[in-house]
Order: sequence, then structure tokens, then C-alpha cells
Amino acid sequence: MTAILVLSGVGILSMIADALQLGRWMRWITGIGLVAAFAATFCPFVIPTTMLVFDETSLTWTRMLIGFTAVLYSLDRHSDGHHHHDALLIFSLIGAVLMTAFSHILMLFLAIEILSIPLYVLAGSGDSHHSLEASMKYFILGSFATAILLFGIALGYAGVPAGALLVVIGLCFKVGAVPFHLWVPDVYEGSPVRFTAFMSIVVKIAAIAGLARFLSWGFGYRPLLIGLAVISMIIGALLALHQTSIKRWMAYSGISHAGFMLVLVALGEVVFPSLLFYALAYGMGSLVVFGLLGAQDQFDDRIDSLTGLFFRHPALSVGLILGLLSLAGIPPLPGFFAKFLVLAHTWHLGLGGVVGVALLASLVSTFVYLKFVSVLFIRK
Amino acid sequence: MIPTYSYLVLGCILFSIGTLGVLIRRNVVIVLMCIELMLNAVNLILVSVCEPVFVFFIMMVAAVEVSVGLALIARVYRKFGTTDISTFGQLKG
Repeated sequence: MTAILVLSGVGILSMIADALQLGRWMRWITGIGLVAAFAATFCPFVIPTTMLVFDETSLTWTRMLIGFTAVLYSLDRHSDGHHHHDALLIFSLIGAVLMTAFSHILMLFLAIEILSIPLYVLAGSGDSHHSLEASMKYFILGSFATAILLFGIALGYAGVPAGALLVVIGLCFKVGAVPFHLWVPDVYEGSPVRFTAFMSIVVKIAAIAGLARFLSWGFGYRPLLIGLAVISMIIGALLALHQTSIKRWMAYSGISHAGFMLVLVALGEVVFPSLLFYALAYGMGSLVVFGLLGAQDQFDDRIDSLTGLFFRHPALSVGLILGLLSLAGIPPLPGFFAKFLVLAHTWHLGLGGVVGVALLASLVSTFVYLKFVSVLFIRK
Repeated sequence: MIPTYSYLVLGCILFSIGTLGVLIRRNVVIVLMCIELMLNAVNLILVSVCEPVFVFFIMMVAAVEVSVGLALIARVYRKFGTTDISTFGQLKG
């Protein structure tokens, strides 16, 4: 609760600072604000409300989301003089935090909109045609998904049992699960790299947390979710094989990881710690990859541009390789344990087929990641 | 007295028209209008089942969405010179 108040204050301050053209202060305002918001999650002060719930679950998600955003923001060197977007980033983060803490369906709807509407603008904040195209696609498909989610809510109020199904579909769209993933690669590719990183880490984790909370109300869609999870894993891994754009490649890798997280979501609250760990491992891996690539002087979206990077920047490459191998699930990196937990839980519940597909998907995605790593070692 | 379910049916029909419009129309402005139609179909259903608070929030959010959407469309028109959806074909793969 306090974190949301602090973040709102920082967002408004940041907007005022921008209007007063205090450009060089804005980095400090936003940075310190994010740290303060993280600290505020440990403050027990709560305004009584029936719309939001601040239990251990939502607080843990909140800390993770704010932490990732803060690290992402601190790694971003290219925004000097481009701080107009800070306020929007903060407001989007508030939406993400609300999505982990709603206890009324109205709050879920508002959280999704608070999360998405700033992102439509942020996706289009680049100068290129691609950025505008990404923004427009995101806007149309995002609003369409929200409308479907709302229709689900309305049907639920009218007593039609299929309502919750539409809400789940609307949330799966935000998660980027196959077959609702079509917007993901286009939007990730077109957006400026720092917002791509924000979308692929914070937004994805928030959507997963929101879906987990919604399903914890007792809607049983386990077979459907496991089905979506299985096709997401395998299709995400397969489509990543032939990508030439880094951001698009990360989008498909994220779809595959979303599949793994959806399995854990489908298994219910029993496996919640594993879901948390998976999200943490995925977030850290993506953070390392995006952080290091974005920290280069000129971000080039072509995978080919990284040819021989190991011989030019050995330290950066080692970090990048560690991040990639963690995402691939190579022991002893965190990604391995995360994937192992998914397999262990699924096996424990007797879902042998899902374990098989998950293993196959991990195999394909390991190949995909190793292919990426090998590019770094090719001499020109 | 019109029974409640008839509003539900009307809402569903309006929502379907909106969905169809989003899927088949090529002009972005029309697509935006169709999304608004979908939201208003939802509003109709919610009013008929006595959830007025929800409706206020949806109206507010819809207004925000339209303002962002129209700003984006204006930028698209300035950059591409058209609002046809088929201009958005550069990102694919």
C-alpha cells in the first residue's frame, strides 16, 4: 500500500519536474523514488480497503517488480535527456503492482489498464516507423483483449458461467501465451530496447501474478491452462530458431518461458514458491541479457551484429553468456533449478505427457540459446 | 417490463458486431470505434445487472483509451499519410 502511494507521488513529481524542465534532476527523482518504493514495501501501514489485499504473496511480487524496474532503470544509460517517459514508466509499474494485489475484479480491470495505457505510449516513443507501428498494434490488440476481459466480467455478473473463461483469455493475452502471442514479437521488436526489457520482465511477471491470483479465487481451468502452457513452450522455442532480430528472439524466448510459468499457475497455490522462483530466475536472466545489450554504446537489433563480441568485449560477453545459459536452463545457474521445479511438480502430479513436452521444449530452447552463444565466438 | 436477459442478448449482439468490426475493417479509426462499441456493449450488460460503479470506471477508462488511441492515429496519419491498417506490415517473422 505504502509502495503504491510512494510510486504515485514519484510519478506525479516526475511529471512536474518534466514540465518545469528540470531534466537533470529527473534521473535522481525517479531513481531515489524507486528505491524508496522498494523500502516502503516493508512498511506495515495499510489503508483499510476491500479492493486490494496486501498479504505476503502480493508483497513478494511487489518487491520483485519494483526491484527489477529499479535495476533496469539504473542500467539504462541511453535515456540522458529523454526523461519524459519516466513518469509513464512509473505509472505502468503502479499498474503492475496493483495487478498482484487486487481482491476485487474491478481492481483487476483498472490494474490492467493502468499497466497498459502508458505502455502503448512508451512503445511508440521511438523515432522510427517501427516504433509507431508497434505502438499501434499493441494499442489495438491490447484494447481488444481488455474488451474481451470486460465482457467476461460482465457475463460473470449476469450469471453466465463462461465469463471467467473470457477473463482468463484476456489475461493470457497479456502474458503472451500461444495462441494469443501474435502481438508480442512485433511489439517487442518495434519498441525502444529499454521498454522492451520492461515489457518482457515486469509486465510478463505482473500478468502471471494477476492470473495466479484470479485463479486462486477457485476457477478451475487447469486442463485449458496446461494446454496453453504446453503449446506456448514448444511453439515459443521453435519460432525462436530462425530469428535474426535480438528483441524478436527474446520475445519468443519469453513466450516459451511464459509457458513454463503457466504450468505452475495451473497447478495452483501449492506450488506458489516455485512460481515465484521461476519468475525471479526468468527476470534475472532477461535482465542480464537486456541490461548488458542495452548498455552497449549503440544497440543494434541484429543478432549478426554480435558476431565475435567475445573477442571485443570479453567481460560483457561472459555476463551475457551466463544470462543466456541461465535462461536456457543449464546447471548450476538459477534457470536450471526453475525448470527442474516445473518438471518435478508436474511429474509429482502424474502429468507424464506434460513432462515429456516440457523436456522437448527445454531441449529445443537449449539449442536455440547455444546457437546465440556460439555467434559470440565466431571470428569475423 | 423488459426482462433482464433481453439486455444481455442485446449486449452480446452489440459486442459481436464490435468484434467483427475489429477483425474485418481496415481503417484504424473504424477499428477504434468498434472497440468502443465492444466496451459500451459491456456497459449495457453491467447496467442491466445493476453494477453502475463498474460502468463509471469503464466509461472513464474508455475515454482515456480513446485519447491515447486518437493521438497515436494522428501520429500514424502524419507519418504514413494514411490510416489504413495494411500499412502496418513492416514488422513480421
